[in-house]
Amino acid sequence: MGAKADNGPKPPPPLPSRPPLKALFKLKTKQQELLIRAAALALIYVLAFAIRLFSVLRYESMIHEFDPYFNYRTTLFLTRNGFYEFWNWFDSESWYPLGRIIGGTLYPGLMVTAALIYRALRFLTFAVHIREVCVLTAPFFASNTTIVAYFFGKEIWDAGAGLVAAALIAICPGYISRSVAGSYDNEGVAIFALLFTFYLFVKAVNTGSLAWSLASAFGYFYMVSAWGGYVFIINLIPLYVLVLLVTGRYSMRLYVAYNCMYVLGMILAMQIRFVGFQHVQSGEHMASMGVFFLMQVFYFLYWVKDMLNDTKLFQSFLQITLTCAIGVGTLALGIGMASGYISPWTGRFYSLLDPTYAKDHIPIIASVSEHQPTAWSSFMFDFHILLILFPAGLYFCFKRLSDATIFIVMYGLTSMYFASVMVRLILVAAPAVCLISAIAISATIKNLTTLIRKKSKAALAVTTKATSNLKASAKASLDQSLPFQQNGAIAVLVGAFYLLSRYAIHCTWVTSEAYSSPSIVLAARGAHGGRVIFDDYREAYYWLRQNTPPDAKVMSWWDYGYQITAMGNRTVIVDNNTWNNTHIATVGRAMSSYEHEAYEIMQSLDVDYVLVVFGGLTGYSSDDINKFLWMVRIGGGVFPVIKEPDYLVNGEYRVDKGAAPKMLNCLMYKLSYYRFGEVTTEYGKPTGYDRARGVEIGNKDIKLEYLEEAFTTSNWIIRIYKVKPPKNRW
Amino acid sequence: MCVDASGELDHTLGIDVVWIALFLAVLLGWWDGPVTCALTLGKFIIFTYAATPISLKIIDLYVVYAITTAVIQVVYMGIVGSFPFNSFLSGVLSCVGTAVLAVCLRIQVNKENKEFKDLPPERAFADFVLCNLVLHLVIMNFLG
Repeated sequence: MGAKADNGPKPPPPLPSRPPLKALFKLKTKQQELLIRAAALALIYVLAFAIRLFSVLRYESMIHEFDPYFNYRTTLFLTRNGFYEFWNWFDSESWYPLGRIIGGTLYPGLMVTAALIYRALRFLTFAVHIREVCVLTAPFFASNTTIVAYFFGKEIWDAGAGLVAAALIAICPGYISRSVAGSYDNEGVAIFALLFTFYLFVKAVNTGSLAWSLASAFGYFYMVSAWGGYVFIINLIPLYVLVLLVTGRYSMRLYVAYNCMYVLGMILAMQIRFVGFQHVQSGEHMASMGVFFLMQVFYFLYWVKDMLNDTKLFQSFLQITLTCAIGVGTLALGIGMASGYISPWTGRFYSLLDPTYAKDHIPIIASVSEHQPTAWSSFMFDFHILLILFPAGLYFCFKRLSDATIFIVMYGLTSMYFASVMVRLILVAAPAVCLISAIAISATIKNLTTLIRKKSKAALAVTTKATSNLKASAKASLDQSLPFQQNGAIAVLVGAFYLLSRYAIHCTWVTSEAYSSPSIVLAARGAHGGRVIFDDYREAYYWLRQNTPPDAKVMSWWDYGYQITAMGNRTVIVDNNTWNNTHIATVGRAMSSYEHEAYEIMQSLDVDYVLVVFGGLTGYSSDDINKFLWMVRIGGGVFPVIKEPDYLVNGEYRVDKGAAPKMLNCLMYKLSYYRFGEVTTEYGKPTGYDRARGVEIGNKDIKLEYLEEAFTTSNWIIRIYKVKPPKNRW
Repeated sequence: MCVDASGELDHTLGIDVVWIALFLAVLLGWWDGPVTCALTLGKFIIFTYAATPISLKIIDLYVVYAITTAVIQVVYMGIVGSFPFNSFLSGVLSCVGTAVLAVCLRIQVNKENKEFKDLPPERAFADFVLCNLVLHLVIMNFLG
């Protein structure tokens, strides 16, 4: 056979006759795995977005709750007037007569993000309204959080754990509660920024690259612009560095990562006006500065130790440097705190360390229901099986300790502590719990499946390969020693899948029942089972908008301030920002005083209209009469003339005939129950039966002297009264 | 030696000398360690440090220059007060920031560090330039 002669053109190769679907299975395993991963991630992305859309489908695309209305109003202002006007905005429509410097007292991240998305969509000629963008911002960022969770899981453990983490956090109720469509609040964007910053920092510590540290500094800047909870990051990361140094995981990568992130992050964070100079002046940020200086000293000492190669000399050098450094540091800190230059921990964050602090000293913080300590039922409701998988995940992390797993363990433990102090912070713990549980699930399932595959592979080896008989017989003997291993593994796997499917069912149910109510539109079941919608809030605000003079001032409790300015477009006396306790106490005092005293206070504040929320006709329990004791406490905290025991009978809060006389004649009682004594609310009950408290009211014959009723909504939920001008002198 | 009417012993020159000698002995004994330490450090600076490559010495010089500038600014602030606090902070932080970034560069470029032996020095320098660029852009915004 000589050389292969090229006898002219070769015939074309035969076309593949297999259909294209089968070509898929001809891919190499690695490519198949990549395809499965990408497909799973894409489905998780869509799932995270879709599960949050319940309220948009059931009601309409509107903004929920109270705080999001302020964010919506500021975003509207930003898109209409541009960034410069927004950054320097002084708003005279709230906190009359003080006004509010909005540009300097908000976290602009959320508004700027929504405005940028709006601009981008408009540029692509999608004619969307800014409200649609605002409503759907939170689900969009929840989807992005799942992607970040995947990469974070991959960094800590492996790609499988990343996928499971992405799937868990897509439907975790703890996260869904603050990021449904319509909940246009800082947390929707902030949790994405938090996880992103942590991922970038862990990546920087693992690679030691300045570029990743710069990225984490930018992530931190985004977090600072988005939410006040950035204090968690600036305290957790120094704590993590300290733990690494103490456990002896000293490395150069840590130095590069932390220092670059700290300096650049600090200088970037100071660009936000609301944060200002807090990074160098506030007690909450001193931990990061202390660790920064500690790192310089520590690494300098290590460098000198490497250079000197003489231990005895190094010891004496060490002693001098350490005493000097500790002395100077303690002196500086002491002088700073004693002279008041470094401000102590503010009440909001101090009450996290000492949960009893707010109840005694700051009633406004204590009155918010989200700030109460968490009950076990809330944990179970928001986390379900993740609560049980969390300790299992911790065990796996401790088995394979690395810089990254130490970080996630610390994040998990600290966030769980804070979540148990305040219900609202379950949101911050949700990503950590999902990641750690994902590690548990991924590691367990991996072990189980390798167990199953090893058995079948060993059986295969015994039958096909007869080369090493000794090894085969040894393996066979091993197989026979644990005969039910494979069955046990399959049983546990089936159990695991059952648990995960129950988790998915629970999350969907919780989202549908508990976390998808807009709270500005109420729904109930009518007598014949049909759905009844109460749209009283918007009815009242639009009445205000269309029937009052443009410069009218409205007095209400601070909960409704943001909604009144956003939808009613009228000036309010106090709103949800609660930055001025005395002003709120003045309103509280007015609501708890007799009508003539309240009239003087209202005259001093130029009030034209008073708005109260009343749930007695419908049985709506979040009305002003149920919040009244907080008004008394806050008012009494500043004006001692208001005393809480005056409104109680034997320590009990009552509105019926046995109620305290001051309670029966105060302004709030009169405004809530005016003309209510004539109404029959339930069949078989007397007139004036309050369905929210379940009693017949005590004072049915109410006469108003200084106010007149202006508007009551169709279900009596909101009642608006006009303040009469003073009577003529003669 | 004269005895007082009250009976107390007057302190004399002899007792004084003993006290001073004791004081000096303690001082010198305490200072002995630091003195030898300082001498060895001096020796170290002259011999061991001179052996480091010239690129690292340039970076060290830059760090010393940046820290000195920061110290000068702090002293100036102590004299004239800190009124535009943002200007003071941006000045000091730009010095401290660039010093810290230079130290990070030195760590990454130093051939003795096993952790960074795969990192090409050009990449380290590019990262350094990028971080400095971001730092100084933010400083320019913050200067006021």
